[in-house]
Amino acid sequence: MTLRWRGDAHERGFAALELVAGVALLVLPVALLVLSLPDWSARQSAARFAAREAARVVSLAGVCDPDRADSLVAAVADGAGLGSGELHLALDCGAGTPLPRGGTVTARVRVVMPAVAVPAVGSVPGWSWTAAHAERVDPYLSRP
Amino acid sequence: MVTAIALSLVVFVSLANVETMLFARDAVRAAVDEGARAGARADDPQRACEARARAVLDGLLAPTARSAVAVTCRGGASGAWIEARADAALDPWWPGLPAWTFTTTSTAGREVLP
Repeated sequence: MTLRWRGDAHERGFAALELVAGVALLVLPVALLVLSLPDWSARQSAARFAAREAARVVSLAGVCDPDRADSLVAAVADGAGLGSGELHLALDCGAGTPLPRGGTVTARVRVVMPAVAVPAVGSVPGWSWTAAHAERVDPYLSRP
Repeated sequence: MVTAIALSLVVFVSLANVETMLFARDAVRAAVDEGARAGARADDPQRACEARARAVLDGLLAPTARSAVAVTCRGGASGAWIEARADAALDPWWPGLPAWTFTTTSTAGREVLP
């Protein structure tokens, strides 16, 4: 005995339309979201690392030196594969002022987050995210 | 029907492969960040940097993947910076496709006694 499905007049659909709609409305958005998630995480990690290292470098110097911190942040951005100007640093100290012993210096790094990022294709800028790190200045810091 | 299921599986596996490669890239970045951070505070910065980066890779990647990553650190004991660099070549799951090669670096300011 052979079972053969003959279909039902009430179940006829639009396979071509459903396929296109399924790909456009379900598969593609989910794929783009899945491909974008690692880039968001990577940019946040780069911003955290840049903020931590910038605050540490300034703290070790004992003097608020934005140029030195900026060069470090630029190196971090370059190493992480980000374009120039995608990491923005802000320090909570005035340029050239000595840091008080035992005080803190805070670095804030803002990174542009892509709304959609497809590896090897490109990205569309979406919003910005800020990482902050406060580093304590050595309470026994010696100065020349 | 069978062809449609097979094609959807191909797409699914390809996406999963892209995800694992992106995870491996982030793991390599984390390794060079950790290596640079460890080397910045060490008396022997290059050795400490490379050892820490290798330890992070050992913890995050499988043996096959981490064997395709070469980590080098440069920046002398007298230098103000230390730079950790990783060169990776990750093989995709599908045979015949070329390996994904990339380089990532991380820089940290050296912590030296006056």
